Amino acid sequence: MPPLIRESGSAELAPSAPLPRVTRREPPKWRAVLSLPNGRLGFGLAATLLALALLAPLLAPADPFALTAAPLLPPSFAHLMGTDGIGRDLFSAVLFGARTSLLVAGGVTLVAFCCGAVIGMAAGFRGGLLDDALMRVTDLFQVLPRFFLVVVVIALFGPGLDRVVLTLGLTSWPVLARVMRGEVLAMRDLDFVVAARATGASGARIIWRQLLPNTLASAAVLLGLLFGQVLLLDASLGFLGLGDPNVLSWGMLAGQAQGFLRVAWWLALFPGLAIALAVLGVNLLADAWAAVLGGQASDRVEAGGRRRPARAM
Amino acid sequence: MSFLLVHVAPGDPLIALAGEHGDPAYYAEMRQRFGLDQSLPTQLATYAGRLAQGDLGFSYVQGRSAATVIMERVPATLLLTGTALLLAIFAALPLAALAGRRPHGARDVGISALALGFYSAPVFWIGQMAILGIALKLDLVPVQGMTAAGSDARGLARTLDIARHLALPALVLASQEVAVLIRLTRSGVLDELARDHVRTARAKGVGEFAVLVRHALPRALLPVVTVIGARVGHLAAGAAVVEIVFGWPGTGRLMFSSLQTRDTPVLLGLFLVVALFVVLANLVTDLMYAAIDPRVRLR
Repeated sequence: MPPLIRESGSAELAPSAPLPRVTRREPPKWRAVLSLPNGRLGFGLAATLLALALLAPLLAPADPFALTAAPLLPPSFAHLMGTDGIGRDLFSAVLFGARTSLLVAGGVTLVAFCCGAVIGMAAGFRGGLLDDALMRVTDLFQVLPRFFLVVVVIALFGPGLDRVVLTLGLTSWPVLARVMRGEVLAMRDLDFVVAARATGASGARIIWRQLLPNTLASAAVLLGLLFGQVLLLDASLGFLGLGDPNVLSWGMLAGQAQGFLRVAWWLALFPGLAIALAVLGVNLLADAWAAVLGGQASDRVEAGGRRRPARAM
Repeated sequence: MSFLLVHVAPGDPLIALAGEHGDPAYYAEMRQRFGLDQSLPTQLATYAGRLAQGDLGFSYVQGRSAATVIMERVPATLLLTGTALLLAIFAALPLAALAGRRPHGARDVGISALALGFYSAPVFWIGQMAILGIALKLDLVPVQGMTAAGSDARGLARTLDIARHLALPALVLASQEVAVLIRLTRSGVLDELARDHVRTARAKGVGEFAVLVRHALPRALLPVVTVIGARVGHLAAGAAVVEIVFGWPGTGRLMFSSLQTRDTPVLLGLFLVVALFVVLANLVTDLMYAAIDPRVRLR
């Protein structure tokens, strides 16, 4: 008798394959996401952002560091977002800033996902002492004030994107780990895992081939929200002048605008607007994705794997 | 408010904590934080060595104990964050109840969109826009500082002066918390309205308003209590940025100037104080949760 496969009609096994592959649910979920209005809007915003960031060198009318015109020109057709205090084109700067923001947020999300997945799944799968120990460590990391931690790190080691990504990535995983652990706990004794174990699969193989694919959907909601949070955190750091001074970022532009607030409103308006739209895009996408997953899965995600709601972190 | 200020400032137990028992705690924080970061072990060693000599207890720039320097600024930040949190709670609950009452109705969509907007916008941008729109255009409230320049008003006049300066930064900071609280409370109210006890209340003929306020909202608030504790770190980070936008003389501005003068002891101290506040807030909210929810038992 073939082992039962969770949520999949195709339980047939190729004779040569020792383990069943978990197949994806039938109607692709991204189509359901796009059928929701907020999903469409979020996808549009996120896709636009990605396109602008990738095509920045082609789209930018000027070198963002070049002095192209008189300082503090208000927005016009020649300079869509005006010029800054020494005559650089703000539109070009905002375009190139998108690259930095995406790079940082993407890097942090990746690092946090790796940490969270390994810790959460190990804790959920092994249980016992390891679970207890890992969860205490998770508690500890969850109360770390990330923003102030990055400030300290930069103060000690100087500004740089690498340390921002590492520090935020290595401290942003606790909520993710809790959710992954919860998912694994819920799945650990289901038939398809028991079957895999019975065929002699190692723990690592079961985690990699059976459990990980089935947790990705709910992890994606959290990763989306985390991406948005990191965009905001990175913007705040840039605003305080803690970013890499040689790399354009939206937060840095907004920070420079602070000194010109009374004379040049456009300097403050556009970089901040870009951040808000980008974060709005990923949040809408994450919300739509959670709505599509629906019911149990999204409840677990929202509860962060326990009673403390996770979204607010 | 000034009454609070006076009573929080001197003899706070945190001074003793940060000053006398600070070093082992610093050690623990450092080990845990940088033990993962293998690329910088040498700096860590030097740094830990300096720590051992008690070097970090003093502000490089001001030549005073870092704890004293920080504690001078804590009341202003507490005033700002406390006001913002209260504003947020009082604004969010009715809005969330309204939104949750008829899901996907016009009110719900409007309120949810507003919450998502504030949730997505960077706090410094909201601050800058508020300055541009409200303070400069309409000239309603002052833009910078905590008191009028050169003012030596006392008593009530001073309180009013501070309140006028406080209004805008507190509102801006509150906007972030409102967004989170609305999102959370709304989904809580939605869940509760679908439950049996609400159906029973309706069947007894309890009015819709009373159902909402007496039966759905209180239970929906349980998770909100804990989330406020979990938000303290975020609130402090938001406050730091808001303080810089509005020139509010709290710990955020201290952090900013310490960054520029590379006053590491003060920065580390600030981190420790915030971390301590976060832990305390989590503890308090966990205890509160256990106190108001009979289902939760502390082990």
